[in-house]
Amino acid sequence: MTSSQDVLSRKASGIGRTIFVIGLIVVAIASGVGGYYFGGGLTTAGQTTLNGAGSTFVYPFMSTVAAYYTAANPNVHVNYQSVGSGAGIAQFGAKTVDFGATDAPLSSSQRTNITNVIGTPLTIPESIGAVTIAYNLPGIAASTPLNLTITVAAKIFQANITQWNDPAIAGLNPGLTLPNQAIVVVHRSDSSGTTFVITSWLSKDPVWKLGAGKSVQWPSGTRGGPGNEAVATLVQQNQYTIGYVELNYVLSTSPPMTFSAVLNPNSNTFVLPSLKTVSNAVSNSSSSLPAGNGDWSSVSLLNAPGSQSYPITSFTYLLVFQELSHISGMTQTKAQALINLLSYVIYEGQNRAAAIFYVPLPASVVRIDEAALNSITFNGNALNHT
Amino acid sequence: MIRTELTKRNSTRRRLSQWFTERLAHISADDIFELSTTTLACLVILVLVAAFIVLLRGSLPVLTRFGLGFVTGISWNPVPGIETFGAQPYVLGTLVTSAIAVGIGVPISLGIAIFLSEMAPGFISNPLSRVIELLAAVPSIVYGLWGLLVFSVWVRDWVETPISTYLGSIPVFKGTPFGLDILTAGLILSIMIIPTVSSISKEVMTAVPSSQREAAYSIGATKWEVVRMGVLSYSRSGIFGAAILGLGRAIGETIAVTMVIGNAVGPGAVPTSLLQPGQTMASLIASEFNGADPGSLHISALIGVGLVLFAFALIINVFAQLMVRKVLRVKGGAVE
Repeated sequence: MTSSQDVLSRKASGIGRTIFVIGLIVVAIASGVGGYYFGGGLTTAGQTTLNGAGSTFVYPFMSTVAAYYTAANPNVHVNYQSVGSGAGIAQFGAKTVDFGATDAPLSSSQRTNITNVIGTPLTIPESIGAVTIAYNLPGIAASTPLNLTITVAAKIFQANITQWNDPAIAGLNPGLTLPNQAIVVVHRSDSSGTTFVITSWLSKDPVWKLGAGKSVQWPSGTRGGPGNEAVATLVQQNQYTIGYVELNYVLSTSPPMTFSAVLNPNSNTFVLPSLKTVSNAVSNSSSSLPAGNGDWSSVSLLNAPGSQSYPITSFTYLLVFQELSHISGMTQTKAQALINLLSYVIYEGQNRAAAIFYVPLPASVVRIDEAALNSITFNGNALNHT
Repeated sequence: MIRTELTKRNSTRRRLSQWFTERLAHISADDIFELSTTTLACLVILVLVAAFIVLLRGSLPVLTRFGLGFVTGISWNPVPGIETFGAQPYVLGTLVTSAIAVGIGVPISLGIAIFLSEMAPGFISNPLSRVIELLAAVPSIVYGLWGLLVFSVWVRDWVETPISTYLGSIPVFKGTPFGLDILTAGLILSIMIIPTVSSISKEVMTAVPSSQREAAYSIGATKWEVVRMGVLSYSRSGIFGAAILGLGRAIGETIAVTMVIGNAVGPGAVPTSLLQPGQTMASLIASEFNGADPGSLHISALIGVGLVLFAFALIINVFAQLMVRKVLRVKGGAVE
């Protein structure tokens, strides 16, 4: 026989258990949330983390340089996220990263906006890229590359020219027998700085109707792949394809890819892309580069003068604020680490570039970058760098 | 006097604790359980509503700029200054790839389910159904990579080249065999929906009472007729539900489709031939969202496509529920 007292106490203990379980869940959630807000990650005492985000093209270079830098400075950890140039600029403007990386420089309006709202941004070119036009034509060896002009390239990528043995292509390549096959064009499916560079170059010819941008409206029948690696794989896997890929990818694949020599309109020579010809293009353009705190939106290395200059060349830039205290969470130690990293990138890092098929900066550009680094301050005080 | 003071304090304390116990005793553990489960269920609806609101807010710029033309337009030009956005090619692309996936995947799954539930002896049926369920455990990105590097080459060499050589004049088979097109995407999707549809169909068919099969045998039906009359018609609403689940997966599948569909944009993405590259709503968002400039009309257009996809999935689910309830209702205790 259960008395009412027993029933009450049983109910009370049941409730007690339920409240205990709910309380446990609440404590678990609170500790998780609290840990997230107050823990700040797995950094140990004395370690500095520098965050950067942006261009996917420069990611192999940045990650190599960061690895060497951390090996030399074990208490600095560099975290670079390759989220794309557009996202890199956005995060730089939102002050969520210490530095941004982008293949396309800040437009005039973006630069004015950032200067008015936050402070002066510095544009620091840290590497050089070139876009090659790679193809897969059985029977045409790498020693006899295809010659292309901007007009013919524009017509191919726009699907105006659809057969490999079209007279326009054959006319530029009298020594080659071109097959009677349809051309399959491969482009980037994701928003990409590489697309921006090649469409900017193709826009110099009135035949090109699709405009310049990180994504354009490619015509029917063309295929897309995500990332330089996918485009390179697709061109290698399928015959009679043509696509555009960054130089460091075509030079580092094995078996090696075939890519075309492009006409430089200034000197009427067909130039094959290589570390040397790209470097020539940059050296011959240095005279018209602005200072680090200037407007780089009209800087273009396309169609650079010189008979051995590759026409489809571009800088890739690091963005950093001139006054580092604008970035939340910046301390003297962190500011010093950042400027040392930037100095490492433009000096020592360039020695690592050639091994991974990135073109090292010429001395004239390094001087401009050095001047920009010297202007960086933290709380108004200049920072010395190694 | 001290004694009365102490007694008074003790009795107050006793009265207070009695008050508490009585109050708590009225709230049973059952009530707390009911309250917490109701809250959790409402949270699910809240998430759905919140997702819809965020999608609507993000796509407002592109919807105010293009209106209904956003859903019916076929152009897709994100170049700043000359932007036009239209989602129709991607809606059509989603429809076509899902139709191929369901058209190929569901009959195969049905065949697998019939084999496993009706025909296979126990020592085959158990391990085989586990292996088929393993197909569902393969991550989507692995399907995408395998599709891009291996499967598309097989399809190009063994399926598309013969189709193009012999049937190339028919408009739906026009195009150079390349491997990355609507056909490959549809085939990969059909492989991905086989485990879901077949395991649910097998469960439904196994649950059919043996009295149904015995009745069919007793009037002289052959094995296939038994399966058709006794089992399939009894479990048709369950099989339809499984097919709808498979369709839902095919519509929402993102990464695997992005890697093998060829990523066409704009008018080039309107599906005219199986051998042409295409684009689905999910694969478009996956390709372009990461790199689009935040705050631009491009991002808003991508969110708009997400809204259309969301609405699409909802409409299909509602339609399926109605079909099951009104048309496919089976009397007599069938599994639904």
